Amino acid sequence: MTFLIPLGLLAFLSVAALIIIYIIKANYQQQHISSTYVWALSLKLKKKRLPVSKLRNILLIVCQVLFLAACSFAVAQPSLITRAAVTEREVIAVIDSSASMRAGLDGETRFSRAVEQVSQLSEEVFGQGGYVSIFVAGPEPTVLAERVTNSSAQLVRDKLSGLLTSDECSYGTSDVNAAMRLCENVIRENANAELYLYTDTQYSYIPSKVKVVDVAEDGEWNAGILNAYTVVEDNYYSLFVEVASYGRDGNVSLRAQVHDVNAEEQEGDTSRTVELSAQVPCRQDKTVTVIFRSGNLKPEDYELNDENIFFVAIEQGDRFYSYSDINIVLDGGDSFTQDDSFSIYDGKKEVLKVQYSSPTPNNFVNGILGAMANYYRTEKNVWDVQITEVHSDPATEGFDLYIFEHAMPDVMPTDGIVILWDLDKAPEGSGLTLGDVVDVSASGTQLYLTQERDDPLLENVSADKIYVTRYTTFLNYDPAMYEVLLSCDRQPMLLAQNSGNRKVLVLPFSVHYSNFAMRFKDISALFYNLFEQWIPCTVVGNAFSVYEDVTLNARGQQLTVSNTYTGESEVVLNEFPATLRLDVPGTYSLVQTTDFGEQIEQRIYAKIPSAESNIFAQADSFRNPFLVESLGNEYKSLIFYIAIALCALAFVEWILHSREYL
Amino acid sequence: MKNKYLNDRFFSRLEALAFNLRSDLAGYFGGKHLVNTYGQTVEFADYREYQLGDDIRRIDWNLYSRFEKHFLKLFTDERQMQVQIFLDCSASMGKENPKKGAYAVAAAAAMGFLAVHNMDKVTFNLMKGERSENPFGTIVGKNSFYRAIGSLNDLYFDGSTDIEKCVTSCPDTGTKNGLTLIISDFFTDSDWKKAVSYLSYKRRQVMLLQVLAPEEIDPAYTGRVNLIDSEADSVEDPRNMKIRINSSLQKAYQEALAGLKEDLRSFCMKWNADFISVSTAQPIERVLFAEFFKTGILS
Repeated sequence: MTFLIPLGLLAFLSVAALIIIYIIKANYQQQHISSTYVWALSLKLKKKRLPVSKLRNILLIVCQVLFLAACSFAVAQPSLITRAAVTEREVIAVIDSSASMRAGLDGETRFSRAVEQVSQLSEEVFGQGGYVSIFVAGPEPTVLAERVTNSSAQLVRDKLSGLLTSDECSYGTSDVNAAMRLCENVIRENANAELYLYTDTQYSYIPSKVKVVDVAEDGEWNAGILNAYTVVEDNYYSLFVEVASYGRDGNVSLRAQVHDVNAEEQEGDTSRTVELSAQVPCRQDKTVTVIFRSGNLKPEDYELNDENIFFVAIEQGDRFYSYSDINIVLDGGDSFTQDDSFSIYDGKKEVLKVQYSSPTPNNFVNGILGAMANYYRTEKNVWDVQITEVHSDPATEGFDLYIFEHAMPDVMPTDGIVILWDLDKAPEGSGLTLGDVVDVSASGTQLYLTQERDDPLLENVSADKIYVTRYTTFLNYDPAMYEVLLSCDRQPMLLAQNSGNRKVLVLPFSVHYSNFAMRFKDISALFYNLFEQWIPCTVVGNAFSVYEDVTLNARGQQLTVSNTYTGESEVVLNEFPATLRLDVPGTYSLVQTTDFGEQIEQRIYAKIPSAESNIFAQADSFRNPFLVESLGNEYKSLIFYIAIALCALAFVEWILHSREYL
Repeated sequence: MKNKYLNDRFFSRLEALAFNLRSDLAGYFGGKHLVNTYGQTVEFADYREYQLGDDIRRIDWNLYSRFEKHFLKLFTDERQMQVQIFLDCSASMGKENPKKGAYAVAAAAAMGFLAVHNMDKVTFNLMKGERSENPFGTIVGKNSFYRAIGSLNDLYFDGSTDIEKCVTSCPDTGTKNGLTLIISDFFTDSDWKKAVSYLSYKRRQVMLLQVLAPEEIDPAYTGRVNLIDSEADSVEDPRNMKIRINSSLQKAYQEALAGLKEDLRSFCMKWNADFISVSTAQPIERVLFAEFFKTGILS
């Protein structure tokens, strides 16, 4: 309990005044009477009835003293401190765990230096009986310890050492502002807390009361690959590599290995690797774009600042128009190794083989297939769709998608998706038995289709606007195998089978007797849905940033993801689409076995943010956590209880006064 | 101080009253009080058969002629009584409150007057300390009475009184021959009950007259009061009291006074004595003509 107005306790002097009043109270009035005999009797009688009269008098005095004491307490405003302001030393340490903190010399990184200094600071504060809060400012800030005292010092030590042993420094950009928001919780409790930010970023403005500790050391420098990509120029690829050197001017050695170059020219299974190299002059922290290009092109073909471009001519024999992947390495022995390599995996796309078999191919199907091929090759950049058109004797193996129109194969292919369109017979193993042909074209009747169920294949397909005038009925089909998606006059017009390695689509009518082909939107939607649902691409893109969420699909039951940088155990994904966060930089291998038994491997590359390569980065400022309103002491006033006590004492005194025979 | 009660008008009003004492008393001399014994008066009382030794002059011959037996004719007897008045002369009776003393003296004088007026003897025993004084001797006749009353006007109340010792040590209390009246406020630690017992043992008719001042019946003072007892020898006398008088204590006072009165009344009833408590605020005539009449001692 404390007093908001301690001087109010001077009211206790009134107790002394009361005692003085009792001492110097008025003398007894002298009264001469005949006899005190009856008075003595009355006193005896009274004493007999109220033997505690003396106690009553004492109680009266005690009540009066307590009353005055309560009054003086009330004046002094007694309060309970429900939350006391911290008087001990309190320190908040924020450790920047951005990727640039991995830079270091002689095996000691900036991050480890920061952790060591925080450890020393913690021990110092613990020794003084203070509080320590430690936050790690990564892409998402984390709390290592919050307002920890000496009793939990060992826990803090363990966590700090765990930061180093488990390599907790991130590979991305730290969100210092978010970390400062976490600090505000502590500062709100204690505005006198000291805040230390251990970072390698140079801030032009540092909020007052925040101490920034620079953990960088002299001699550190970094040469890194900021980005790399290929561009087709004059039928050959040019390799663009953005390189920068921070903290030191000089030439850096850049090497690139282009694998499986011009595979079409190679015989058998042999592959050719082209090695490119350059000594890149880097100065004043400028980004230099190194362009490995064909000798036929000239520098003036680029609208770039000449100072930041370094051209390297590719020998005529090394020019490449195709490749599988490119590995780029920067040799230099700098302080930051995470950006010394880069990989490009977009050179070789997965081939999707499509066979279109029809005695009388029509342009509608060819157009749709061509559009799909163009979309997935150029727009999504995921597949190289190869379309094979046959008129007779179609193959029943070796393709990913079989389209049979008018003339059906004898047996069903088993290694790909099959579309049976306008069946003339039921292939063996299809589970279908054909019936009569219904032809209403002569009567001019148009039989519109009905959508039987919601299916992803029919998304954006307006079934009720598609009609047929001639179709083949089914005498029998296995309902367990096929699902009727569209129907006409109770006859199936679109049967779908999608179970494991059996992916079949059956359309028992010809585009010549339907407006389906004329409705380009509907037929495009059907084929698009077919590709997206039954042949989903594993991943869109091949280069990502660390901590980016990537959506993965598989054409089989599972997808195995492994990272070549950390070498950690593989991650097996079973539900798709799946989201994978790329926690570490490097190459990720995505391996899957399709439902048709084909094994596919795809690689993507995750790189650290380009800004983190600048290990001497500068920033304007960060959020000032001391702007929050400090809570200070919180009191609970006891005046209510004092008032109750006053009332109670007044009541007791009244009782003692009025009930004299008590 | 001249007693305002004792004047001719006061005594003249008393002449209409007469003592009406118990009939089982007996005196040596003839008087005006009818007693249970047979005497020589002219008033017939009863017949009794003649016994050997009886005066033959008292035989009723008319009865003898009718019954041929000798019967004596008996007549009532009237005797002179001795009225003893014990007057408390302690300070509580009049030192601080002269009116109370005058009232007590007047009551004693009235009873004395009634005694002499009825041909009885009267003695004034002034109780002072542990002994009683009889400065006037046995008073018979109004002349002696008036002389004595003249001295009583100058009576001074002082000190304390032990009623028990004053009564028991009195040399002439008499036996079965009259009335003993004790006038006091009975604010005493002495054992007055023994005095009453002693007088009852002497087969005297006993009457206690308690005289109280109005402020003693209903004290008006409150607050912190140092009560100085009029009988106290000094300020440090333990009878002096420093008390805080409040309503509760006043109530206790009333109860204590009532208890004292009740004690007196019950004890008197037990010993066949009379008790009267009067306030000096009451006119003394009312006391005599009302309170004493109630007891039947006056008629």
